[in-house]
Amino acid sequence: MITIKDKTLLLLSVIGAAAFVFLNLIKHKPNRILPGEPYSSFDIFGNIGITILLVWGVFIVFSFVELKHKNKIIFILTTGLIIALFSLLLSNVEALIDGQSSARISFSAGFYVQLFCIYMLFSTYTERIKNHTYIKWIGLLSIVGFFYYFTNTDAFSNLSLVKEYTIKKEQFYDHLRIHALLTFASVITGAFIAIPLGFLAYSRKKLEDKIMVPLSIIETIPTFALFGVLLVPLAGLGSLPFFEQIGVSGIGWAPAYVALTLYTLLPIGRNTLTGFHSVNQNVIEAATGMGMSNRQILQKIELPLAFPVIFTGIRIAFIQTIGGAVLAGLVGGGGMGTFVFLGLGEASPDLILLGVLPIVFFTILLDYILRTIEKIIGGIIYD
Amino acid sequence: MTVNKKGLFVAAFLTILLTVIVIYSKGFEQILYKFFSSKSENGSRTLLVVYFFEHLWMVILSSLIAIVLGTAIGIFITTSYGREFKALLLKTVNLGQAFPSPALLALAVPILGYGIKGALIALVIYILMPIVYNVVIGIEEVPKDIVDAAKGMGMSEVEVYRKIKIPLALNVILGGIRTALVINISATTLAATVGAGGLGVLIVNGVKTFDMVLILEGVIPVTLLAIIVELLLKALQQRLIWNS
Amino acid sequence: MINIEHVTKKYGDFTAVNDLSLTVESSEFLVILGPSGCGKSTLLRLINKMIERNDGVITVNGENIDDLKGVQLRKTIGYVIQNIGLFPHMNVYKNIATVPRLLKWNEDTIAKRVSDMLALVGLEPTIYQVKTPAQLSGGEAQRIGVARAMASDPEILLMDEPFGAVDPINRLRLQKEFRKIQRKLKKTVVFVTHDTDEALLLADRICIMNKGEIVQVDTPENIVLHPKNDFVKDFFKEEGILTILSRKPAVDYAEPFELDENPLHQDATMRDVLLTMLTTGQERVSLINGSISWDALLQIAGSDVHDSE
Repeated sequence: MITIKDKTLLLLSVIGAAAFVFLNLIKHKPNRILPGEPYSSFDIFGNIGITILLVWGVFIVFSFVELKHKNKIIFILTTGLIIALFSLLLSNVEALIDGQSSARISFSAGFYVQLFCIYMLFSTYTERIKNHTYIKWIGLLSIVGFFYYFTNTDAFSNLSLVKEYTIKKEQFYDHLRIHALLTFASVITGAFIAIPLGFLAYSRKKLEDKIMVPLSIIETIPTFALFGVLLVPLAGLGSLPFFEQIGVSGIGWAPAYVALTLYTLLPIGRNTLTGFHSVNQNVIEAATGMGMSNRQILQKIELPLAFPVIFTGIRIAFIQTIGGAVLAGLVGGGGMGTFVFLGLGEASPDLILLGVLPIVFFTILLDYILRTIEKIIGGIIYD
Repeated sequence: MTVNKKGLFVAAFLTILLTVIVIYSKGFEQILYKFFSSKSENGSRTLLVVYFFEHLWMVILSSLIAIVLGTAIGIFITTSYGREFKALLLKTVNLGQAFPSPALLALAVPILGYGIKGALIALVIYILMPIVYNVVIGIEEVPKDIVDAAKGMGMSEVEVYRKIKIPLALNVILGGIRTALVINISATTLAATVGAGGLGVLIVNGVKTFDMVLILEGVIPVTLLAIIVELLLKALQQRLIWNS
Repeated sequence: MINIEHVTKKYGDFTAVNDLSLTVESSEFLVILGPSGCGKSTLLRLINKMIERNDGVITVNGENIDDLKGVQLRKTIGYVIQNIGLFPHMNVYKNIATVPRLLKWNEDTIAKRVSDMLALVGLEPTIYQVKTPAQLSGGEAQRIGVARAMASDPEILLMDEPFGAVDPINRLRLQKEFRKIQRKLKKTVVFVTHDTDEALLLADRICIMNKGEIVQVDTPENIVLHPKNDFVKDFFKEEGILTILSRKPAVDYAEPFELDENPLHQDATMRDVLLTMLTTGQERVSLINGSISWDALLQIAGSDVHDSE
């Protein structure tokens, strides 16, 4: 009897193979406006490209058998798959474009689905490799190296996404900067307000509901509604000379900054409260018994012990704010949302992607960095 | 219990308020114009009630689909057949988290075109993960001893789910549904940007023409709706806490 | 009757139960005793197919358990675990009614059965059946656990350290009560514990396990007095003999030699006799039907006699 040995591998490789066979890989557009002509994986990859389908097939077979070093073999094959997918695609697309400068290529569902499956396989098997970890680094470095090499050639320039980027290069970095600034400013302001609020809710039991209930009501207000409603008071404020000078108005960065800051209050405030609550009462009693003053207890015991939880709140606020800041684009506040909504207006998917991809990338990166810091902080405090 | 009743009372009051606003939207506009001067005083060309029901309809439909689908996927992952997929699920949740809701809605356009179909699918995808996640966590948190005792008494796998695991996880599952509904109401406001209608249309138009009345005419009902749903589900959740 | 023949259970490279054979007679109270990780709980869970074995044959009342569906088998075998696993979202009535309902009894029979079971474990039915598990003390919850396991009147009860989480005073009371119930209803009980006192107090026979294998199966007396090897000897230490004495009613060993002083109460055990001698310094203790001397006590403690019951 055949038994499935690795369901994750089977699921991902069946989806990947199905995407190869049934879904369109790319669209070829003669110019920015005209609708494109779809091409399947078979069309683009040609005879050599069948090897990609073959790898998907091998993965399907692998999910039914026990193999020595299976995790490593799959990891290496997945790394190869990423490189093969991109290099075959980019080199074969060249012929399709045939030197027409306005022609461009945009990815279709078949590409995204295969990329998703490969990404999941890559991260799953990275985790599963327990010994010989140098293999992971070799894999990762060869992918990075590959992309580095190709970005220095003009292979990518045929992609519609890259074309959009080239045109809007200057704006792109401006908006990226605004987006980052908006995110950091909101979270930092939020932390400065919410941590004291959370502490107040903890130290004055009576105030707990009075502080936490309004914060959770703010969180319930639909994001876009809050952006909109802030136009009213901020427009009023903007008519005063001082605020007018610093650029406050109903439209622009001000409503985005205020709304995003308001949304960070609940995650940070709630985690501050939970963090302080989670400090063991016996520890505090022991500290009191040792003659520490209330201030010393707060500084030396409560705050350090509560800090990892508070930091988690800050991380959640960051992730939420990077995404939320997209809406700034709707109220003229700039940021990557500008491209998203411009793309929607111009019916240009690649412009939308130009706005979305950096957000996704930086969200994942920031989440990873903050989680790492979280672990380090935890290690320092509990050592 | 007192909190529960207070919440229900507030929810009832807000529901009446919302109903009145939606039915007498022209009067509501007139009141708003008393406070905010505006270039035109005609208000919205399409009646608020139309946008409101478009909005409600999108929220209900996408939520129902997501709840049914999410619960099924969540339960599957907790079974012995689906357990292996848990790591995959968590990875997908993490990846999905990186896509903000306007981005998901916007990306639905190139694939499904403008309009309600794309918006609905994007909304389902957006709220699916919190539902699945809470179903998995809720069921996994049911103490092992209780499940063991139920199995030891001769309950079949299905009976263990029906009589033990799901009832005990219901509180956590409902928590997920509550979160999903609230973010759904919020995300549906953005459906206006992809031409799917809803209360967001009023806000978008208001922002474009800098018309406070239009903005508030969208903001107030959508906020009321979100708060009512939150309060009702919280009350329902509190009734289901069994070990108080 | 349960028959276990050459049963093996492996978890990867680890052998939890190794080629083990054992027979549990009808109406017998068999205690499986051993250090943690010796495979005793695994053995118990193999019997009701909570886990599948790798090798060997198990029959319950002459039927090979492979011929039965696990779900079917478990409905006919009572099962009690250490943390009881009462269902927190059901009241006591519904908890006890679980298996009868699975067996589709009619509701009148179930209601009568529930109140009988509550009475059996010494809890007032009208008061307790409406309570929720959160309202019960540890001892009460454990009684409900026993009542629930016996609700469908199974012939066999499997118990995995059922009294482990109860405080010492309540534990002793529960142990004694449960022993009485078992005698009265003549249930076959397989009882897993790591507590030697509990084993000596309850068991008709004790099966000592170590590293997935049986070390010795015998009556409590034989195990304490004639341990097969050092493992068994170390396991019981010297106090085992005291527990053995506490199993023996003093009146059964009385010599027809009346003393002119207050006799010990009727339920006194040989352990009480020894304690009286030690505390008063007497060499002979008075009973309601005679008396017992120091020499007689020594002889009983050292002798090979089986439990008189």
